[in-house]
Amino acid sequence: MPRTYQPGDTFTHVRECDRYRPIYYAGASGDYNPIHIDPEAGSAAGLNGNILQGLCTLGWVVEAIAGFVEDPGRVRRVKARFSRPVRPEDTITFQGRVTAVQDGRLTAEVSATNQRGEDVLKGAVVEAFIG
Amino acid sequence: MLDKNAIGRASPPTLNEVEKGAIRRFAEAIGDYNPIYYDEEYARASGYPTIIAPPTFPASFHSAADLRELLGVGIKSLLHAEQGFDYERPIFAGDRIYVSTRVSDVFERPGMSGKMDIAVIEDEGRDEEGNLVFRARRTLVVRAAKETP
Repeated sequence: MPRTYQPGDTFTHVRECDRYRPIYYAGASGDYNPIHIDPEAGSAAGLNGNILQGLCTLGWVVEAIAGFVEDPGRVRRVKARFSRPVRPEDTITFQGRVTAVQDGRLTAEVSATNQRGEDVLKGAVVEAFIG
Repeated sequence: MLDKNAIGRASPPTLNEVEKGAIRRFAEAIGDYNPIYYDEEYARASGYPTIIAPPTFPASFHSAADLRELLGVGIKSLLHAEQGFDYERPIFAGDRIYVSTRVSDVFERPGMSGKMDIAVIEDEGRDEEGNLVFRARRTLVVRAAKETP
């Protein structure tokens, strides 16, 4: 029996940005922008240390929806604005809420907050097939 | 401010071969150990011909685009402000994807310390038959270097 989805359904995902995560992500993605891997470069750019690549945070948004629809291959759309940096040692909580289910496709809004309750993403939206 | 003439400037398609090892490393870098990213049998049992890549995998693709050339400025720093992906289908191990990059928009936005230069860059990935696989759209805050590129 395939599971059913309805507007208002929710899902949650938690990820910690461990100390070396920006370096792992740099290696795998090729994004070696110094603000991600060098705390001094981050501070020089006014960021008060190094920050995680936004695309890694977006990868966690995808992980959250992929877990909810039980298959990352069903993800059809993801977008977000990186409103606040994610730093090493931050813990990010993703909370998704289904806003529409139509034609075998689900749309959800996702919030992402750090351990201080501050939003690190704005306007995050995902879409996935559920058919 | 950035040169409006940059809008529409594009790079030729660049081939990206999707390798299993690269998929696995990318999934590990996110910390996502879903077996669909490294276990052939699991992927086939899930209805796919082979393992798939995490949807944000195009972050690792390269294109011939040199942002300094596309935007026509030296770049002191870049900050990623927004990102979106639209997928026509999953990306599979063994895919050969041609990525092209285009400047979609440049404009100024008020920021904390004066006006910020914004560039909107669109990437498009197509398979060898020319079918669209994904579109990506990133918004970058660009700090131009004083000297010319």
